[in-house]
Amino acid sequence: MTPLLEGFAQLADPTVLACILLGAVLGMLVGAFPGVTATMAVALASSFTLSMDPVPGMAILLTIYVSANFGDRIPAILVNTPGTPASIATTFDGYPMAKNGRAGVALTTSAFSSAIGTVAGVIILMVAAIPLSALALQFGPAEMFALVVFGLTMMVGVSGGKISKGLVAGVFGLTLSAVGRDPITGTQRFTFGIPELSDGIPFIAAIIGLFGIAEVLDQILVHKPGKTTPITQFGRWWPNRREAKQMLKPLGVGVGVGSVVGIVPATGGDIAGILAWDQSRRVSKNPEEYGKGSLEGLTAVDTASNSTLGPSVTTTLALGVPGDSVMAVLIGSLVVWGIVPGPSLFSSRPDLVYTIAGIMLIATVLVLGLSLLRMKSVAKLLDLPQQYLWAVIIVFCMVGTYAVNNSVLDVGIMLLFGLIGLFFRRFGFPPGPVVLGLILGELAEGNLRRALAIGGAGNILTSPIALSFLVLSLAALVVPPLRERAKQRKAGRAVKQS
Amino acid sequence: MTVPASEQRAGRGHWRLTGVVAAAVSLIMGIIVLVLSQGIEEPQIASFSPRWWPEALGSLLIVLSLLIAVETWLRPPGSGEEQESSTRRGAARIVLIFLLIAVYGVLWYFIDFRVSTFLLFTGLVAINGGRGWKAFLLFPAITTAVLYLFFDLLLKVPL
Repeated sequence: MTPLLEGFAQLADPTVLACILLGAVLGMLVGAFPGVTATMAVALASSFTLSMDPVPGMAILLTIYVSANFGDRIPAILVNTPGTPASIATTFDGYPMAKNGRAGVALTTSAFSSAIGTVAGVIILMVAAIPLSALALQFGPAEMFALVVFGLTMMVGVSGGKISKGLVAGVFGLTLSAVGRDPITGTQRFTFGIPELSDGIPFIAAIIGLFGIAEVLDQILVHKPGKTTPITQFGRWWPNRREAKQMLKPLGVGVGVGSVVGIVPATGGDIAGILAWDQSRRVSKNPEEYGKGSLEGLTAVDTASNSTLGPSVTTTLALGVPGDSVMAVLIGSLVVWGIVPGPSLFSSRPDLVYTIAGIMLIATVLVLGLSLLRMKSVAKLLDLPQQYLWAVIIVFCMVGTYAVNNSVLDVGIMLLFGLIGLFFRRFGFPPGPVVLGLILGELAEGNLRRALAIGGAGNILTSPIALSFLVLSLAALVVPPLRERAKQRKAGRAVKQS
Repeated sequence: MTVPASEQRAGRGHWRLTGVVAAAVSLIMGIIVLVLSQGIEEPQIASFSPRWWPEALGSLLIVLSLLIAVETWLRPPGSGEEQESSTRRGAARIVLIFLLIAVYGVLWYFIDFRVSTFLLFTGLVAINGGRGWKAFLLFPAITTAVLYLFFDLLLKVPL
């Protein structure tokens, strides 16, 4: 049997289909509630999927990933609040459209754009994953170390004006990964005599704390009573022929931008959406409508944001470097299941590419169907008082963390990471690099030491691939502040002239 | 719209304070990592000591803390770096939540998971402003039942 058939055959199991359905419903709800991110939801779901077989477990996690990227558009359009960071740019035109009485068309357009974007991304996954992993198989320790540095600096580089704090967060994550046995000699490090720490910081507990508890605590800390009323006048639902035609060009722009952004490690739908909105405005015949309720703007954003999903999975599985923060969390579960992402994964299990692609395609069709059900009832969900949501998340985080290893210590570590995550958020440290550092630390240290042992620093500096990654890493850290400074200087000059 | 000078000053003050605390914490973390690294045993035969990586990371944290301090001093706050300010009520709620969780930990040990979790839900909703029978009875009963069914009966987690 070919890997394609073998991969798709695994989806014929009714349990897998039931898991996709469960993931779709959970993901839609997660996306629709502002404050519950896809990363948080996948982290929470990891706690109970670990006891399942890999394929049904992956079906739930990947479907939440896909589905949350549909559901998060609903609050972005109806209450001007992105359900997850990936739908930030949806608010640019989605909410103005809703205010203009076109919420129905905005929701339907968003659902179709998201579906087309996701399918385009999955096609990239099917076409590019195996060749990319074959290429990465040529990587030695020097190249792997440089790739890890590249992934980490990309996540730091997109932390928006917080490069130095992003670096501290990344180094903190790398330091946490040093807890446990040394990867080369097996010597115990920072375990303080606690046997459970020999295997390192419990990864799932740490990410549930950093992304689940910390987020809820932050919301509680800044919460002020007051309520946003969702828009309830939906107008017509289907775009007319002229509007459908208008969508073609931004669809192309969205797929192009999303695919490129998605393949770059550590960058996700939020960046793709904003870039695509800008690019689409540049090529539009009606740029003045952007930001005021442009259907083109909305289409470009949602297509781009969802086009990142497939490429992001590709980078994660083929290179072992997370494509975005959700993938960082997913890697933790995959490793527990014995599926170690990296160049050798697809050479030994090529069928896995098609199983994953199949899950994402079925999820897309299912979620598109759910999205097209008239969403008036979802608008009512947005009225749910936040104290209920907070209580559910806190208790679920605790019981879910306990369920992973039946360990109270894990729950304590999770709560500790919740407080660390809260501190990080309040003092401007992005939490994403911590998780990335925690995941990639062992890979970075092991490969760096091997590379240095083989041929010293020259081993890294004479490898064209390693050197390219390191130069790109440096650019990821240096270019954003320089651009920001140039922008400020330009703005300052404009103010002086006026 | 221009921001009043007093607000600008307050914003800059908050940015400075945040930066100083962030730099201090990074510095302390770096020092702690360096000190703790000295306690790592070194095997006789190894080309690289197991201390090498943590020491490098600790030193990097110290360098980065200096970078944050310099940046805080020299650079004005950038756009998008403002944060919603925390409230006293929010801070009090967080303290109460952690106290409640500590009590829950004890209760879970001594009494049934379902009872203690029901009480935890009630407490959490009450702390965060929920009132009435739906908040104190209906919501905790439903969510506790769902958790129990899901984790204990379906996933066989010994709760």
